[in-house]
Amino acid sequence: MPTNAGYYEAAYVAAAVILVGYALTLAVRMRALRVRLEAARDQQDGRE
Amino acid sequence: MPDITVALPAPLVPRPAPAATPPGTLRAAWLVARKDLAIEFRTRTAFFSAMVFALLGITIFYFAWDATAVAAIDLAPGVLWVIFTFSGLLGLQRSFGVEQADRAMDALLAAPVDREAIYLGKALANLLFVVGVQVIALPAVALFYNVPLGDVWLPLAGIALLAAFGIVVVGTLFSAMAVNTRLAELLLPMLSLPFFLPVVMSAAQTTARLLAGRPVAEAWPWLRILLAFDLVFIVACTLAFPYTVEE
Amino acid sequence: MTDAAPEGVRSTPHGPSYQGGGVDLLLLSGFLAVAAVYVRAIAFTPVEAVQGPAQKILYVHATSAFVALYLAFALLAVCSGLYLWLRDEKLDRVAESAAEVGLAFTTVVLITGPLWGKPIWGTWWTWDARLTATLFLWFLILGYLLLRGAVEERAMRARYSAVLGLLAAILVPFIHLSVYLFRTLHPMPIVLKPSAPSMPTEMQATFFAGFFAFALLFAGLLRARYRLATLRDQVLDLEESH
Repeated sequence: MPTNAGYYEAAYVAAAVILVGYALTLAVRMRALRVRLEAARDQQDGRE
Repeated sequence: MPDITVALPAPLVPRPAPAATPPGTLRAAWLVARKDLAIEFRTRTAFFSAMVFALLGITIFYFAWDATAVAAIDLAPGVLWVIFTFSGLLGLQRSFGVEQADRAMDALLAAPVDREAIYLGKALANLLFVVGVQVIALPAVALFYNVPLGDVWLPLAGIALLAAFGIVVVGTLFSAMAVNTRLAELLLPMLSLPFFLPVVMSAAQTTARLLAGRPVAEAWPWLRILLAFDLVFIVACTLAFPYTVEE
Repeated sequence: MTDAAPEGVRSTPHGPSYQGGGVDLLLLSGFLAVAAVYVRAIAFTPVEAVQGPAQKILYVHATSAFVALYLAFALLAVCSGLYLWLRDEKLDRVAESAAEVGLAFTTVVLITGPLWGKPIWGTWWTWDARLTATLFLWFLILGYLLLRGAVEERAMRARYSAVLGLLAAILVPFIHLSVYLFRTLHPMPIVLKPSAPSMPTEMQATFFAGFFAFALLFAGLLRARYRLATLRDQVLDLEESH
């Protein structure tokens, strides 16, 4: 049996990094949008 | 001041013009195509650029590999189809670009013609453009790459026409969309090239077989894909076009 | 009287908007399911005799490919068609989310593919039919996202994206046809023949568990991305009304 375990380990790590990384970008973008939402609401409240 | 009335002879009496009926779809398409070709013929810039690009590309490709290792005739189909594709894209860029000036597109849309006719007309003009480039490029490749066209030039011309059709049908639609975006010149190739794959692959594979002297029947699986692509996408793109020019 | 809406959700003209606060349980369970499959694949699934441990890449590679094409891209195509018919903004947001999440999964396929190809076939890339078709899928989704990025006005962007989504769906069968025809005429040098049709039950179980886990993760990521899109549209509307 060939000893090529390194390949599948790398693949599993790569898949995890890509998917977790993507989820993290979603979280970061969500937070940035919430900041903008608060700012926009404050501006609107300030006008009223 | 005395009133002077003059009775005009009958032929000079102004009559109301007969009610003009809007042209049907095919006639309208032809009118749109004629308009585009007239514009192009007067300025000639796009066709000239595409032609020069094609000839330069064909020349540069020749020096891009070791002619002693690979026979020129083996690379000819690939070079031919890459050149057709990219010079076709040059022509497609200007297809809807000409309507940007003076908001000509609005006038075109206000005319009493089917939206589909506008699309078909533009596609026809683009087709003639691409075929024009092919008419120059094909003999150029035959000359520079020592390709004996001889008895296969007719089926080759047929494939060239079918493939040009496929490229133009999809490219015209994407040109209509891309022209309204920020990155028009970059977006058109990016969107179109994946769609060109079945066309270019089928055409190149068939060309290679024809040049190698194989019977046309051997290339039939590829030709089938090319024909199916043309049929499916002329219908799909004609139906999709009105959605790209809605107000 | 307690608020009927789930915690952290406000209603907006675009539909419910998730304001954060709670933990996204769907997404979390998706990741946990995938982690469980990882453990099962690594520790509790037998190693294939001919290919060796590298064969285990398949549990991640094939499952991601399934999600990318049959879940993400199919959803993109369906929502594109439905949008042109119904003109509901929500459909456009689902399409946009399916595309982005689909791109992530397609990237996983394209990276795990060569990592499997190298030990099994000897080279990183061999223009294998499936991998080539996946590469074109990647380009199509990327083109879709770039088109969306290049159009500012929301209605036009939705319309254009829907047209591209539908045309891409029509194109995919042609890509498969062309690429498979190309392959049958240019067989690649295969050192070892990849996975045989009959697999021992433990491997099959890991496979199915993998499909379920990655599909669950897809659902979680899709919903999170959809909420992001809804919030973004809400913020833009609010900023524009000033």
